[in-house]
Amino acid sequence: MPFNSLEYLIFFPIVAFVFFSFSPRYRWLGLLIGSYIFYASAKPAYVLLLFACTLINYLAGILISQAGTAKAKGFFLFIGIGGSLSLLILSKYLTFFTDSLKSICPYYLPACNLPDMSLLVPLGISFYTLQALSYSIDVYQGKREPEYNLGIFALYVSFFPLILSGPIERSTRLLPQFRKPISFDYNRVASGLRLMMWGFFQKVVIADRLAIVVNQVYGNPTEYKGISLIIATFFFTFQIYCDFSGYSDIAIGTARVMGYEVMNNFQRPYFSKSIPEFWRRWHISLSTWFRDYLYIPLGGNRKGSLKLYRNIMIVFILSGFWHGANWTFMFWGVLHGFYMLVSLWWSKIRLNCKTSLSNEGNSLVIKLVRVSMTFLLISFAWIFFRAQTLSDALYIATHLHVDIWYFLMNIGELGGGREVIGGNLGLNHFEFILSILLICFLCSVHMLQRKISLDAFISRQPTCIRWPLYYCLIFGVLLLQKPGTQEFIYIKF
Amino acid sequence: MTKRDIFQTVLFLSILLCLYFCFSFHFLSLTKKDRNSKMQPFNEFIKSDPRIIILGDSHALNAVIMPILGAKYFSFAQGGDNIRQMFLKLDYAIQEKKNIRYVVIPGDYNIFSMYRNLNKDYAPDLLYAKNHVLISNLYNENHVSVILRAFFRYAPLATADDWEKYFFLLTNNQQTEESTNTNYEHLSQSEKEASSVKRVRSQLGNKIIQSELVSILDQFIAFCKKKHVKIIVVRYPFSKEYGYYAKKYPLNEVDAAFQARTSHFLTILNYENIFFARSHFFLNTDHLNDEGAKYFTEILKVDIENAISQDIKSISVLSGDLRYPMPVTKRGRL
Repeated sequence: MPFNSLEYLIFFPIVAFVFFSFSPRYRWLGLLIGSYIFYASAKPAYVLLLFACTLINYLAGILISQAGTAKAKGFFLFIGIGGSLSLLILSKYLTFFTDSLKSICPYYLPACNLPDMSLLVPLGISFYTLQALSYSIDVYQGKREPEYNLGIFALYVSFFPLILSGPIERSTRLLPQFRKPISFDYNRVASGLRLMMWGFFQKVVIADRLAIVVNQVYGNPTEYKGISLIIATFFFTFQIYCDFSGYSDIAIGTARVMGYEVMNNFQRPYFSKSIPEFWRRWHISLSTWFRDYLYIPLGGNRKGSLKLYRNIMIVFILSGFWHGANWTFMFWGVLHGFYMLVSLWWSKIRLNCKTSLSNEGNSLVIKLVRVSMTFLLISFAWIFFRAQTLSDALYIATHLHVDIWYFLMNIGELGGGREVIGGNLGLNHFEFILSILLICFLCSVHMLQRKISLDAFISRQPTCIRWPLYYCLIFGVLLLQKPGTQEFIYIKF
Repeated sequence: MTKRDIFQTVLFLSILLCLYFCFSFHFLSLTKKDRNSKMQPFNEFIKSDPRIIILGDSHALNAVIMPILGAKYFSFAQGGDNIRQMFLKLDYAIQEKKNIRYVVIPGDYNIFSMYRNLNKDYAPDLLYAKNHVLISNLYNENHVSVILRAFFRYAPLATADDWEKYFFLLTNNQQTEESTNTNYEHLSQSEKEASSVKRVRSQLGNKIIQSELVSILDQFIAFCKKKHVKIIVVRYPFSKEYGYYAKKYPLNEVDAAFQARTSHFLTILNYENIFFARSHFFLNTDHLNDEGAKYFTEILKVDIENAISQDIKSISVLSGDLRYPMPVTKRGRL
C-alpha cells in the first residue's frame, strides 16, 4: 500500500479516526494493528520477517540490560546485530553474493544453485532493520532503558508511516512518544496535512513527470547520447529528491497528524556548498545513523588520518551497499567516499594556505560556484545510482559530452514529439517545458526555505491567502499528476 | 476540536467541493463533443441494419472505408481495441440487431501480444456495454468494481485519467508521438527502418502471445457459434520494412494459434504483403493511408463476398513466410 495509492488515501483517515477514537492508553494498540495491516497489505508473508526482527531486538535489549558483565552485554549485542543482519542478508543480498561469486569463479561454484530471492525482498527491510538495531545499540551504550512492553516495541519497529522508507528513527526519540498521552490538536493536524500535501505534490507532480524522461533514457541508454543523457541525469537528480523527500514529507506529515514528531530527512541538499555538507542535508536519518552507529564506533576522526580515510570509505561503501544488492550502488558509495576524501584534503589545503580566498569564501559568487560544483558532482554520481548495470553507467558517463555543441545549437527541438535531436525523451514539448518550470518552482520553494520552513510560512498567512494556496496545491496535484502510479524509488531498498 | 475549528473545516471542504463541481462542469463541456464522437458509431449502428460486423484496432480502422463496403457492413473498429473490446462490441451488436451473420476480426501478429493486452481500461466500453457480467469476466474484475466504474462514468473527473485528459484539453495539448500525419513514402529508407524497428519492437517485443487473450478468443469463438455468427479473420497489410523486422520475432506462434482454430473460421484472409512494393499506400509503417485503404477495401469486399457466397472454408494461409495468398488477378488490378 504505497502512499500514492487510493488504498492509502482510504486507509489513513480510517486509522487516524480509529486512533483518536481509542482511549489514549490503548492508542498504541490500534496503531500497531494498523501498522501490521499496512505492512501485510504488500504481502502477508513479509510480516513474519518483520516480527522476527522485532523479537530478536526486543530480546537482545532485555538480555543486554540484564547481563552482568560487559562481555556478556557485548555477546547479546552481537546476537542482536547478527540475527537482524542475517535476516537482511538472507532476504536481500544472498542472491547477489552467490551470483557475484559465480561470475568471479564459475568453476568452483557450479553446483550452488540457490533460488532467486531477488523478487522476494521484503519491503522496507533495510529501514526497519536499522531502526531496530539502533535500539539494541542504544541499550548497549546505556542511552536508554530496555522496552519491556513487546507491543510498544513492535510498534516502534513497524510504525506504518516509517516502515517502508523511513525516516529511520532512533529509539531515544520515538519510543518515549508512544507512551505520551496525545490529544487531538487542530493546528498540529493541519500542519501534518499540509506537509502530506506538499509531499504528494513533490512525488506525483514533479518526480513522476521527470521519471518519464529518466525511465525512457536510462531504460535504453545506448540509444541516446550527449544532451539527452545530460537532461535525463539532471532530471533524475531532481526526481530522486522529489520522490524521496516527497515520501519523507508524507511520512512525517502522517505521523504528525497522529501526534508523533519524526526527524527531518532533507534540508535543501542541492544547495550544499560541499560534499560533507550535502551529506549533512541528504537522507539525514541514514547518514546520522551511519555516523552514530558505525563511523564513531570505528574511531571516527580521532585515530589519525589513515584510519579516518578508512572509516569514511567503509561508511560510504556500506551506505552504497545498503541501498541495494548491485555493483552500481557499491560504485556510487565508493564515488561519494572518494568525493569526501578529496573534500577533506581540499579543506586542509584551504586552511593551510589561509590566503585571501578564505575571506572571499562568503562572497555570493564563490558560494554560487561551490554550490554548482557540488551539484554537478552529485548529479554525476547519481548516474551510477540510477543505471541498471555498471556498463550502462559507464556508457552514460562517457557519452555525456558527445555532439554537445550540435545539441546545444538545436536545443529548441527538444521535446517536440518526433524528436530531431536526442531521440524521443517521452514528453512532448509542452510537458518538457512544464517539467523545467516545476524544477524552477521547487528551487524557488527551497530558496524560501532558507529562512523559514514551508509549513511555518504557510501557517503565518491569513486565511484569504492560505486557503487559495491549499486549493491550488490540491487541484495542482490532480491536474498535473501523471497517472500510472510510479512506485517510490526508496521502497525498493 | 473547537466549534470554530469544525466550522472552518466544513467551510473549507464545502469550497473544495464547489470548486470540484466547477471543474467537473467545465470538463463536461469540453468533452461533450468527444463523448458524442465516441458514441457516434453506436448511434449510427442503431440506424443501420448490417449483416457483417467489422471489428479491430487502428489497422482495421484505417484500412476499411465504409462507403465502399456498403450498407451490409458496419465497422466498430477503433484504435487500441483488443479482443476484449471486440467481444463486447459484438455482444452489443448482436443484442441490438438480429440479422448479424458474419464478423470480421483481425489476425494481425500483435493480436495476442502484451502490447495489445495493455488496454485493460473498460471505462470507454461502459458507454455502450450493458453486459456487466461479460465485462467482469473479460477484464477479470469483480462485479462490484464494474458497477462502481459504471457509476463513475457519470461522474466526471473521478479518475486520474480524467484529470490527465482535462490537463491536455486545458493546454490544447495532444500526445503526438505516434499520430504524426506524415506520409510513409516521404520518409528516407533509414527513417522507414527506424520507425519500423521501433513499432515492431513495441508491438511484438514483449511476449507475442498472452494466453489470456488467446483464451478470450476461444470464448469469442464459442459465443459466435452459439449465436450462429461466422468468423472471418483478416490480416491487414503492413510495409515491407515492418515485415522484415517482424520476422525476427516468433510469428509462427501467432500463426499456430490461428491454425489450431482454423475449423472455427469461415475463412482467413492474409494481406500482410500485398502492398510491399507500394510504400505510397501507407500512412506509417503498419497503417494504410486513404489511397491504400481505397484499394484495400475493394479487394477485401470482393474476397469477403466470395467467401460468403461460396461459404467454403479456404485453407489457412497464415504461413508466416510472407507469401501472398490472394489470386493473381487481384494483384493485377493494382
